[in-house]
Amino acid sequence: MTVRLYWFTAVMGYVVQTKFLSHVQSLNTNKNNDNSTSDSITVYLTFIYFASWLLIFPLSKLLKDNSTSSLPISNQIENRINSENLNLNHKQLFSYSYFKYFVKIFTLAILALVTVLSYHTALAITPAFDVALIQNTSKFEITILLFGICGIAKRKNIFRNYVIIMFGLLGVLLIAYTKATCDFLSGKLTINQETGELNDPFLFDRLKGALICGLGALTTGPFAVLYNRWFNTEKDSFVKQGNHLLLIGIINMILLSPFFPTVSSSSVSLLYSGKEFWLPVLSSIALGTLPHLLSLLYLNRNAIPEYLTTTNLGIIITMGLAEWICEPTQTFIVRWEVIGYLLLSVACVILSISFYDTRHFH
Amino acid sequence: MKKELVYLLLANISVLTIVLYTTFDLLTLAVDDTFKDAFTDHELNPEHYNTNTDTSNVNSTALNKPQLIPKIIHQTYKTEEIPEHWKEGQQRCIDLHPDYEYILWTDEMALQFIKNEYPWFLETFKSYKYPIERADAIRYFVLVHYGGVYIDLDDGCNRRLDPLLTAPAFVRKTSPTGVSNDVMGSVPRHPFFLKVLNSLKKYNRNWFVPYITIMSSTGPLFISIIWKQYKRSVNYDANENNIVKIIQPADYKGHTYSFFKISKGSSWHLDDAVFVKSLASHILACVAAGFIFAFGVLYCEYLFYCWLCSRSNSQKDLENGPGSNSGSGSSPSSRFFLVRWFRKFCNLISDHFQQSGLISKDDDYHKIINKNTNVELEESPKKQSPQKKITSTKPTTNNVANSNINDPNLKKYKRLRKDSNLPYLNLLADLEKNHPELTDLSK
Repeated sequence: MTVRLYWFTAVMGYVVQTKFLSHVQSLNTNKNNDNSTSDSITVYLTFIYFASWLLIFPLSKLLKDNSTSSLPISNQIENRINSENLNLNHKQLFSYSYFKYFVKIFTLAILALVTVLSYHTALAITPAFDVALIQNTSKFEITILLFGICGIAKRKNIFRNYVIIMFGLLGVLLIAYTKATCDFLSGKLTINQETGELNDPFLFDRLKGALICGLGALTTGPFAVLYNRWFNTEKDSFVKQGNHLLLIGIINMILLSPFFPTVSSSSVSLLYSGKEFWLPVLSSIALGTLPHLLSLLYLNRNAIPEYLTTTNLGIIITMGLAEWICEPTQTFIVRWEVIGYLLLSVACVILSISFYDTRHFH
Repeated sequence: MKKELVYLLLANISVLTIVLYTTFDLLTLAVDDTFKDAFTDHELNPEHYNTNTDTSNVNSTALNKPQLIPKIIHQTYKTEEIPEHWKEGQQRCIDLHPDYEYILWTDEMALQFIKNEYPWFLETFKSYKYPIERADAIRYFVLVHYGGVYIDLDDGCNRRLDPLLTAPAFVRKTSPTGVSNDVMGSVPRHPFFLKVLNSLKKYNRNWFVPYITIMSSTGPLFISIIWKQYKRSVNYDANENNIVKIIQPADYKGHTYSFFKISKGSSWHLDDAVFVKSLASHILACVAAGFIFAFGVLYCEYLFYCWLCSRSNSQKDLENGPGSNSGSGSSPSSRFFLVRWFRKFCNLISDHFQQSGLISKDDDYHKIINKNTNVELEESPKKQSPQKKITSTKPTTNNVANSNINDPNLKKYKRLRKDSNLPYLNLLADLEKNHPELTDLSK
C-alpha cells in the first residue's frame, strides 16, 4: 500500500512541477521575446531545480526504509568489519575511495544535468503536455531497455512484457496524434486557406523542443543504471542517498553558475519582482519537485527497479487528465484519443502488477 | 561481457556508423547557419543609410556596392499560356524592371537549350520522371549559362531587385532549415551553381515517393544539401566572389520592405505531398513515432540477445553433462530444461533395463544405479573411511552419483545447486541401508 501511495505521489509531483514550470516559462515568453533572456531563465530555473535537491538530504530522514532487515547481530558484525577495514592502510584507502566516489558523483551529475536542462529548454518552447509525453516516453523506453541489458531487471516474461509495452506505446502514439486533431477542433491551430499549410508560427519550435527533450531524456537510462549499481546497495540508507543527491545538486549548481551573468538587470527586475514568478516556482518545488524526488527515492529503494519505470506511463495519463481539467480551451475529445488513453492505462496497470515486487537487501 | 552482447553492440555501432555516414549532409541541415551569410539591412536598403546622417557604423563601400549579377529575370512554365492567378505577379516583375531582360522558359525551349548547350546532361534531363524535375534543373543551367535572377511564377515581385544584384550569388532561406530554389540569382559560372550542375546526375534517384524523389533529386532538399557541401569546401571563404548570400524570410515575403509577394503555388504537389505536409500538423506524433520505432527495434534485439544467451547456456549444459553448472548466467528456463533432460535420461535407462529383463518393473530406481555402477569399493588401510577406485577414465552420471563426492578427480562433475543434492541424498540413504559400514563413522 505504501509503495502504491508513493507511486501516485511521484506521478502527481511531476505533473504539478511541469505545470508550474511551464506557466513560469510562458510568463517569460509573453513578457520578453529576447532569446538570450529566455535561455537565461532556463538556466536559472534549472539552477533552482538543482538547489531543491539540497533539501532531499534533510527530508530523506523522514522516509522509512523497509528494504533492510536491521538485526542487531548483523550490525555488530558490520561495525567490526568496518572498523577493521578502517584500520588497514587508512590514509591510502581514504584518498583513493574519495577520488572514486567523486568521479561517480560527477558522472551522475553530468547525466542528470543533460536531462534536466533539456527538460527546461523544451518547456520554454513547447507546451507542457508535449514535454511530459515525449520526456516520459523516452525515459520509460531507455530505462526499461538498459535495466534489462545491464541485468538489473529480472529476465522473466520478457516477451510478454514487450507486447504489453508496445501496446502502451501504441496508446502514446494515438494520444500524440489525436492531440493535434483536438487542437484543431478547439481552434488552437488553423490551416492557411491560401497555401493549405498549417498556420503555426511555433511549429518548428515544437519540433525542436520535442527532439531536445526526448534526446536529452535518454541520459536518464545510464543515470538510473549507474545509480542503482553504485548507490542503491544495502549500505546506502535513505540518508546516504539523500547525501549523494545533495552532492549531485551542488556540482550541477556549480556547473551552471558561469551562465548566470547573461541575465540583464532590467529583465531580472521586471520578471522576478512580482509574485507571479516566485509563487509558481516555489510551488513547483514544494508541491512538485520534492514529493516527486522523495517518492522516486523511496520506490527505487523499496521496490524492484523496473517498477519505477511505470511511473512514466502514469505521468502521461495524469498529464492528459490535468490538461483536460485545467485547460479551459481543451474541450474536444475524439474517439481515438480515448482509445489511446485506455490502451496506455491498461498497459500501465498490467506492467505495474507484473513488475510489483518489494525489494529486500540482506 | 558476454560475446553475444559484444556482437550485438558491434552490429549496432556498424549500422549507426553507416546511417550517420549516409545521412551526414541531411544531419548538417539541423544546424541553421544562414545568418552568417545573410544580406544585411544596409545591403538591402542602402537608401535608408544614404539619407541618414549617422552612417558611422556602416562602411561607405558597403553602401555603394557594384551590381555583379546581370539584369536578367528568368521564369519557367510548360507553355507560354500562364495561369490567370500568376499573371499579375509575372506582370509586376516585368513592370518593376523595365531595364531587365525577361525570359520565360517553356518546356520546348528548355529541351532545346539543353540539347544545344549541355548535351552531356540530355539523357538525365529526359530521364526525369516528373516534369517539375526538368523545371527545377533548367533553372540551374540558365543561371550558370546566362547569369541573372530566377523567380518562380508564384513569387510576384514587390519591389526592385537591384540590391540583390550586388552579391555574386544568392538563394533564399526556407523554413525550417536550408535554402530553397524558388528565388535564386547568380553571376554566370558561379562555383556554387557549377557544383549544383555537376551533382544533378548523382542525385537523380527514385525514392518511390514522388514528393521525396522531387525534393531530393532537383528540389529544395537537393540544393540545400549541395549548399552545405559547398560551404564545407576549403575555398569557400578564400574568395569573396565564392560566397552565396542568403535572403532571410522577412526580406523574402510578408513585409512592406520584402522583395516578393506570394500567390498560391506548389502546383506540382500530388497526394503524397499533402500527406507529408499533413505530418507537420502532427509533429509530436512524428517525434514519438521515431522514439517508439527505435525502442521497438532495440527491444527486439534485446529479446534476440536473451534467446541467444539461453540457447548458449543450454548448449554448454549439454556439453558439460547434466551434472555441470552452467554458470551464473543460466536462466530459469535452462534449469528446467536440465531437470527435464535428467528425468528423460533416467527413464530411458529404466526402460532399457526393463526391456532387457535385468530388473523387474517394481525395482527401485536406486537399485538400477547400484547394479550398473562401475565403482569398486575398497576398504582403506586404516578402515576409517572408504576409498574408491575408479575403473573407467570418464565416469558416467550414475557412477558420479555413487562415488565419493569429496574425491578431487570427481569434483568437477559435482553439481553445485541446492536441488541437485537430492539424488546424492537418496543414494547415500540407500548405501547406508545396504552397507552400514561405509557410513557409520563411529566405528
